[in-house]
Amino acid sequence: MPDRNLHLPAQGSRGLVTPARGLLTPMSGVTSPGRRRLALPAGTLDRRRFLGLGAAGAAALALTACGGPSTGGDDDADDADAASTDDYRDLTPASEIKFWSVHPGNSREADEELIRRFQEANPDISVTLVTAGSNYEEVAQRFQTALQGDDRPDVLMLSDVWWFKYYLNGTITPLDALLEAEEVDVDDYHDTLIGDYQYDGRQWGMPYARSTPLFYYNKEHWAEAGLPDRGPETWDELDEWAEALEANLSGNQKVFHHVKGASYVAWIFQSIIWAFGGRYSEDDFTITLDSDEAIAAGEYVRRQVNELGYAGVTPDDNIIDLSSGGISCTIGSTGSLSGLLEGSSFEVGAAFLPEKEQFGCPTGGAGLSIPSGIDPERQLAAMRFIKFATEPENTAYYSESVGYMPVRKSAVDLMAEVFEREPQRRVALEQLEHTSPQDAARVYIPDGDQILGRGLERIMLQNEPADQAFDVVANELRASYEENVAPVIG
Amino acid sequence: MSAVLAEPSRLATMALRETQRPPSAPPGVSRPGGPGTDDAGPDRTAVARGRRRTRGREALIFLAFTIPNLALIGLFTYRPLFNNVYYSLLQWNLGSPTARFVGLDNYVNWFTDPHSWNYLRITVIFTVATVGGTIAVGLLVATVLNQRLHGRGFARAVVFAPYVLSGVAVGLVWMFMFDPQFGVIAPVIRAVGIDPPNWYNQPGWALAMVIIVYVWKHLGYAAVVYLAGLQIIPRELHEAAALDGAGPWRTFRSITLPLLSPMTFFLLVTVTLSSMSAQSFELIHSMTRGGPVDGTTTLMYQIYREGFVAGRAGYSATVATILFVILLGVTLLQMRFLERKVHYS
Repeated sequence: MPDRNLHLPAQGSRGLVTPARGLLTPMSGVTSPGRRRLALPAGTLDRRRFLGLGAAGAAALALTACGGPSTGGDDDADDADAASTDDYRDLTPASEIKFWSVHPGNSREADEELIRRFQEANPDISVTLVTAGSNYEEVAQRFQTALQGDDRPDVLMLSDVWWFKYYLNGTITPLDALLEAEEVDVDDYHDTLIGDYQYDGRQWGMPYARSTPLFYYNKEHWAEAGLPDRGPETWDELDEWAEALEANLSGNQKVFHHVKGASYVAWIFQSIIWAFGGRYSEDDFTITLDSDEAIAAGEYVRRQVNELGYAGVTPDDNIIDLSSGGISCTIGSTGSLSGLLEGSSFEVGAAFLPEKEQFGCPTGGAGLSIPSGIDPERQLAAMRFIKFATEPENTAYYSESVGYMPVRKSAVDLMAEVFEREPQRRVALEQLEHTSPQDAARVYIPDGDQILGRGLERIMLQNEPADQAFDVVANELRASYEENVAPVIG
Repeated sequence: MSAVLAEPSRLATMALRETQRPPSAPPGVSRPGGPGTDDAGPDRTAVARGRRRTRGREALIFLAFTIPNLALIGLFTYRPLFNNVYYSLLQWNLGSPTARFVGLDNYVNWFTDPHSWNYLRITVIFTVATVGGTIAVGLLVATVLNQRLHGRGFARAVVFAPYVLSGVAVGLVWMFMFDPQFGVIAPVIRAVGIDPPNWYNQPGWALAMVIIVYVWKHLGYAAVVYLAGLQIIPRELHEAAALDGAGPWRTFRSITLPLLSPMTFFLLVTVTLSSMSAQSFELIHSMTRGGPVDGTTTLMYQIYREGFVAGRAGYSATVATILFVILLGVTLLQMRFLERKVHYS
């Protein structure tokens, strides 16, 4: 098995970096080694030991000689699944599991609280919480690296744009048999939220920290501009309101901030392209960025930033811009809601996203998956934890403390009091009823989110015409599809 | 015993010079007491045999000394290198247990992708600016710190400190300083009467920002190397120049600079290597993540992004191989054309 061997030398290699660098030093005039006699004490290193060392080196070389992917064809693609089983009924769950989380929306305490509750209810299973990165990319990268070794997590947090890549690679396990073994009430999960993880007739993840984009606005700015206390119903209305809002802002302040590629602009823009009646792609991966509606949406944000001028692109974090009073409104994830409500010195309003031709709103955020290739006992324990973490009272707790959606239908009743206290949360939940699953180009094509994001950055930051930018983006999306998706699902 | 131990190193030099020396005069023969002068009788074949045996033994010791090193370098430097070249011929999604052999497809893709030339352009700008900036400012700082000043030791430590700081920490702190709304740099520029650029959102300025921080972080390294160089320049030369009526600029140009040329050459090679490869990664990653609009995506950063964000391990290996060839070429050119101009006193 190549996987394990790769582990050992990787650690040893650290110490070896310096001698290699030392090769450069003769240039700076170190005395030539040939002139001096080695003053080694006799006996410490005799020839035999040296030869022994050499042999050890050769053995290490042989050990690591295998590794990397197999190119023998697609037949062994299911190798990783070999350790899994379809029948979990007679198994006892493992006594300890690892949960890799990124604590989205500062949810570390909530993760810890759920683990505490779980261990209380299941004293024979201990859960280790691992902060596997500070964003979804980092946890995914760490998982990709872990696949080369044997330090795999048992419960893995994956964002909307990452889980499909692992499906394509065969590195996450289908959950259907596990759901059955743990008698999970799948019907009580919100239909869109659980449906997002279904592909090929099977379930690949369970919703956990799920969100939608939400329109946030500064109620003080709104009042000063004499606007009604609600979000704009349409983008046209926001264009009209912008003038009144701008009057109260200083010279370099903007009314509205878009985000950049690193903050998933393609996720938020998806709601705009839908509102204009366009889509990134059809479900069969046909890219539809050349449609009039798609181009109109792209042109709209280009004009908003470069011609109307009331909108800008956040330098770093649009939520901080809003909570610091730098801007009047923005679109952000529901996962930012709790932080915004706590961190702002003014009252923050939350509203449905603006419409154009129609209303459009995607879901997003992260779910929990179970890797393939780990012991079935661990997978069973992992599923027990996932089931517990998404129980109505637990998802209600998680939603209340962070702002993500309660993923269970029956959790909504448990949150009545919270909704009363902070009606912004109810807005998010009401909007959830009108969401649609995301376009394949963003979530199923590997790197699709970043490809789209770079194109949108060009449109907004460099004033590039949308048709031109989308043309480049469409080609890149098609290339990634042909390279990564078509060979697998072909 | 000590004579025997001296052998391997001599053998190493011998092996290097083997082609240049006439075979009839092996080194060490004339040395009294050395293994080459053992009781050589009149029988020439016996001498030859004896020599052969000695040489065989020496070769064995030579191997014993070098094999552990060679094995480790092979294991941790050359094996990954060759593996990388092999991976560059694959269509391989990172993490996938299987891959498809695609020959040179990845290379064709790289050379036909219009983005590649942009990344190459950014790499060239970044490298030239950081190497030039680091060496020039490093020399300036070293010259100042070579004067007899109060608190010179402290100043030297301060200048060198950024070099050993974590790049991520440095990047994050500088990001706060460059912040167009809250940073300390914007008001300073405004005070001069210029509108500060939006460092975060304009690709060109973002690149300038990363270059500035890179130079700041690495100039201490150049300064320390130059400082060492300045201190071995004999005082007599400066005094002689002064007697001949040379001003400070003339002295600097005609004496200091040429005598520092070994340091300059050494810095050119090492700073170029580190700027084009791993050292630049942590700053770019913590500051801009290659953005905005790819404006700070160097080849090094592209390798990371293709491999770990897009998951295209094969393509990422291709870019890595291309970067390796470029680095090798640049270093060889530096060795070939610049080392001639170096003045080793």
